[in-house]
Amino acid sequence: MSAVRQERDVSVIAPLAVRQLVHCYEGSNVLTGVDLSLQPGSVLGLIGRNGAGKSTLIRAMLGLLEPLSGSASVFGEPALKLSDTSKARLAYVPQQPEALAWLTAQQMLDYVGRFYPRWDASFANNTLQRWQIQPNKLLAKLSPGERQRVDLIRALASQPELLVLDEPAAALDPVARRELLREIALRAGESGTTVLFSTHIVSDLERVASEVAFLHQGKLLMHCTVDETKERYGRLWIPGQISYAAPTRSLSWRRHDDGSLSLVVERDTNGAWPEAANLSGARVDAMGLEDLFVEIAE
Amino acid sequence: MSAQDILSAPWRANRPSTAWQGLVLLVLAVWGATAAGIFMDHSDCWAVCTFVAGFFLALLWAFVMSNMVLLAIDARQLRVPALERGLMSVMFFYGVACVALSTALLGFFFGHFAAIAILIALFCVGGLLFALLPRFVVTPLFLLPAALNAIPFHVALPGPLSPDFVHWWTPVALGLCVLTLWCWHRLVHAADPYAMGWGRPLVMLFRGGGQTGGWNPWTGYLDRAADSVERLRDSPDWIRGRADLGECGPGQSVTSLRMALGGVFMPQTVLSVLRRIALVLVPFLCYVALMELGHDRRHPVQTWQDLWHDGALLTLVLVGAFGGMTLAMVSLTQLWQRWAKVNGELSLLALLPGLGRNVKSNLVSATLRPTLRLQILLLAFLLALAFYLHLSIQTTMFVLLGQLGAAGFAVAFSLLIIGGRLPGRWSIAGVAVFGCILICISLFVPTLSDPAAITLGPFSLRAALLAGWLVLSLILSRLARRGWLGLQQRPHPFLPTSQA
Repeated sequence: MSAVRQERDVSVIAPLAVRQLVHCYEGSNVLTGVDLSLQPGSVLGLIGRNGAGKSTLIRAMLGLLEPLSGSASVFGEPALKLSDTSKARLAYVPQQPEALAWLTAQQMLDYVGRFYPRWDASFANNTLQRWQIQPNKLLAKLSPGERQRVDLIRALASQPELLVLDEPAAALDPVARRELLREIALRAGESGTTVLFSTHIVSDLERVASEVAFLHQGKLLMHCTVDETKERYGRLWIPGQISYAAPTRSLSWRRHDDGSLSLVVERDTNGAWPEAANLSGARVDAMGLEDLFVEIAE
Repeated sequence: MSAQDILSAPWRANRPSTAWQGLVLLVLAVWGATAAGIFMDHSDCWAVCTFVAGFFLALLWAFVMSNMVLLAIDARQLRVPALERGLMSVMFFYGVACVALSTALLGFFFGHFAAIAILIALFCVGGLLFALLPRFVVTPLFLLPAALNAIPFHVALPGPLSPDFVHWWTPVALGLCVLTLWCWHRLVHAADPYAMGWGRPLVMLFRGGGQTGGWNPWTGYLDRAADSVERLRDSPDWIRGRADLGECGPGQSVTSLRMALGGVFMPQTVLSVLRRIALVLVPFLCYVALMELGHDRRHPVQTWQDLWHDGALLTLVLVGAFGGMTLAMVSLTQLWQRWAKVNGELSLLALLPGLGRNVKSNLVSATLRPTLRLQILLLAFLLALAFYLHLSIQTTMFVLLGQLGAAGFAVAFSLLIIGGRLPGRWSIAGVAVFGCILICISLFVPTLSDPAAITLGPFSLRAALLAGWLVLSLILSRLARRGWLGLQQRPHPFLPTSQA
């Protein structure tokens, strides 16, 4: 009985969670009190503009930097003090990976593979071949795209339960990008791998993510499922003469030349739009994910 | 280009720190020549003054003026032909100005206008060529002094005091000018000048992604030092070390960490180690062979023993003074590069399972063991030389102290880097300069004279040196303790380190 309960407790532990995370570089705030938690089996796309703090958030979540305040946990353990068991269950690919440049691709995979109990050597070899990467070429001499692919192979071959990718498609050509997204979807669908990836490319996010989190100027502005974004958020347009009635809370706010207002608004807990949406002349338009991202980020 | 543009071009083509260094070299050229003129009273002192001035001018052209080629490359890549052509005019103007002004000044006091002009031109063009020639040409040039020493039996090259000097060396200077033009053209017109591998000249070595501008004694050097990835990309395959993965794995934490640190820390195959030893030994043996060829025949009275004694003494002083510190600097540079880069080995190691519970102590062992092993080998070599030279116990002790000091630097700063407690840049610079001066004096003075006989006020130099070593050891111990405590306080050792 207790074993069953313990198993259930383990299964509901968030693979990755942060609370009130604050960090700054050289006096300027990069993360200002971020709360985020990943559900097991989810694919979370972290989106935000350059310098929004995505990479810092990911690094803090994995214990790769010591935040000023707040806490981060991986599989329930403090991120800065992970056990070997937890480390074996996760894989991370940084933006523009540069590790172990003095080894060949084959040597790097051989070296890293020795540390992972569930290392899939045949997957590593086959994928190297499929992605046409010369196994005996020095990592330092590979192109950035090839380098990123080798690191993705390294991450996937360890068969992780949690896969964290920082801008994984940044250096990939469209074919490799499509293949990576397929692999992520496959892992999440078949093996229940939890995935967190950051990206600028909204179409990638729509293709594979089940959840989306939008980070803007160090704050997490929204975190919901991808389908929910279309239902939950909309663009409220209010004519100039009644712009005084605009809701005080909105994700973005823009006044046009004719005096009218455009705001990105959110439904309340009862599913209703703000009251201003019911005024005569006002209207709420549905928004795609990219429109939503651009409106908020601008 | 206007006259003002031509005059200000070197200032604009260089970072302010480099331009200032250029001015310092100019001042040193003038002061050096003046000092030599004042303190020497024989008739040939014009040659010494010209050599002193020429030496600093050669440095100026090698490390400051040569940077103009980088601007010319940028101008060509950005399709600004007027700037590209204008820079040629700038180089021509400054070349002529340098030779003409130096000749006028030195010639005014000593005469010998033609010989001085040729000598200064040779120094300036030589300095520029040193920076522009491919590395595979420049590296063997270090054997040139020994080779020139061997040459007189075959070709009698006239020295500056010879009446034939101008006739012989004018065509050489013109030839070097043509060669410089060819090097310049080759670099500027290359499709990708920064991807020439082993053919990339020295002037481009320090122009990497790490250039952050500004100057500071520690990160300034480290930022300019070629990133290990960049260096690997440029190096031919035969020169790089081959990794030996044999003993890496979860049970072998120290070896695995060394593999992940790469560079001087990386375990290598036996063949790779032998190849690297050969890379050091072959030029050394060439040097010895050339010395023997030149020395023995010119001075038939001197025996092999004299030659070996002189060579051994020179090796002891140079290797003792610079070998240990260079080793320490190489390992610290690599360590700093690993701990400063967030997308490199740190994240991989931080999340790699199976490195064991004692990862901090294993890391200390992985970072210090290879460096200290090399330092011990160097020390054994120097002690063997000291024994061969029959040096006194006191001199041998200073040789020993020099190596211990270099090893102390390696230990203290390695701990500071991995412990995330690097002090401010000026503190580091102060300790480094103090240590270097102390090591150099400790090596140079006792091998040339008796430090007990030299007095500094009421104290002998020996007492001052011992006091200096005591102070340095206290500072290094304190720094090492600070690094060690920092490491113990870190939740894990693979967090990036930034400077205070």
